[in-house]
Amino acid sequence: MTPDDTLKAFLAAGTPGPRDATFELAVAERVARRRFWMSQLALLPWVLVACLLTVFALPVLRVMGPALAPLAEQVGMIGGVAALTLVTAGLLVRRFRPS
Amino acid sequence: MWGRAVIDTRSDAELVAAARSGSDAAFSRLVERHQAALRGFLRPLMGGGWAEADDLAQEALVIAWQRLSELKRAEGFRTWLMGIAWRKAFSRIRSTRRGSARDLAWLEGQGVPAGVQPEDALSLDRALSGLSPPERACVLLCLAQDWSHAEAATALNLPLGTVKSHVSRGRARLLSVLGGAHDAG
Repeated sequence: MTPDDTLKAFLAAGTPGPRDATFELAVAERVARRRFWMSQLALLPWVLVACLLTVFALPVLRVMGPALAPLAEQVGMIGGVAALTLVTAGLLVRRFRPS
Repeated sequence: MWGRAVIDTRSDAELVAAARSGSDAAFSRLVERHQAALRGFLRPLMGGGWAEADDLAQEALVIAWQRLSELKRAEGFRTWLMGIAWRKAFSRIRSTRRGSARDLAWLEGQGVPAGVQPEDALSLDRALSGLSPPERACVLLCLAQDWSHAEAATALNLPLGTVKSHVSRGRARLLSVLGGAHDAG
C-alpha cells in the first residue's frame, strides 16, 4: 500500500454507505418541522390584520350589539362550518398533491 | 414506498426543478444521492464525533430545501449544498475555537480504517487536525471526494490558486507523517 493509498483510505473512512434510511428520515422530519414553522410565520401578518380589524370593529359592535344578538348563533355556526371546510380542504390538497 | 425499488435516473437539475415545485419525493432523492458525500466531508472536517457532523449535515440539507429557489444553476446542486455545509461548519469551528486543537474523538469513534496501521491513522489524524479548516476542506474535497480544484473553489468560495496550494500543502503535510514526503508535490 503506497502512502497515497493509505491517505485515501484514511480520508474515506468517515464516509457512510450510499443509503441510510435513518438519516434520510431525520432530514425529512426536520424539513416537515421547518415547513410547519414557516407556514405559521406566514400566517402571522393575517393574524395581525384580524386583530387590527377586531380593535377597529369593537366600538361598532358595542353599539350594534343588542341588535345583532339574535343573529350571533347562526353567524357563529356558519363561520365554524366554513372554517372547518377550509381546513379540511387544505389538508386534503396537501395530502393528495402529486409529487 | 413503491418508487424505492426503481432507480431514479433523473438528473440533479430535474430533481431540483421537481422539488422547487413542491415535490418532497424529489428532494428525498437528492438527499439520498448526496448524503454520503456530504457526511463524508463533514465528519473528518468537524472532528469531535460523528453525531455533530451528521447534525450539521441535516441542517445543511434543511437550509438547502428552504433556499432551493435561490439556486441559480440547478445542475450545480452538489457544489451549492457542499458550500452551505462548509459555511455552517466553518462558522461552528470558529465559534467553538476548536480549529487545530481538535480532539481525537473522531478517530476513537470510527476505529482504524481498513488497510491503515493504527500508528499511521493516529499520525494522520494529528496532521489533519493541524491543518487550518480551509486547508482541511480542500484536502477532503479534492483528495477524498475526488472533486476538481475548480469545483472545490466554487463550493468553498475560495480562489482557484488558493485551493490548489491548500491541496498541495495539505497533501504534503499528511504524506510527510507517513514518510512519503518525497511523493508530495
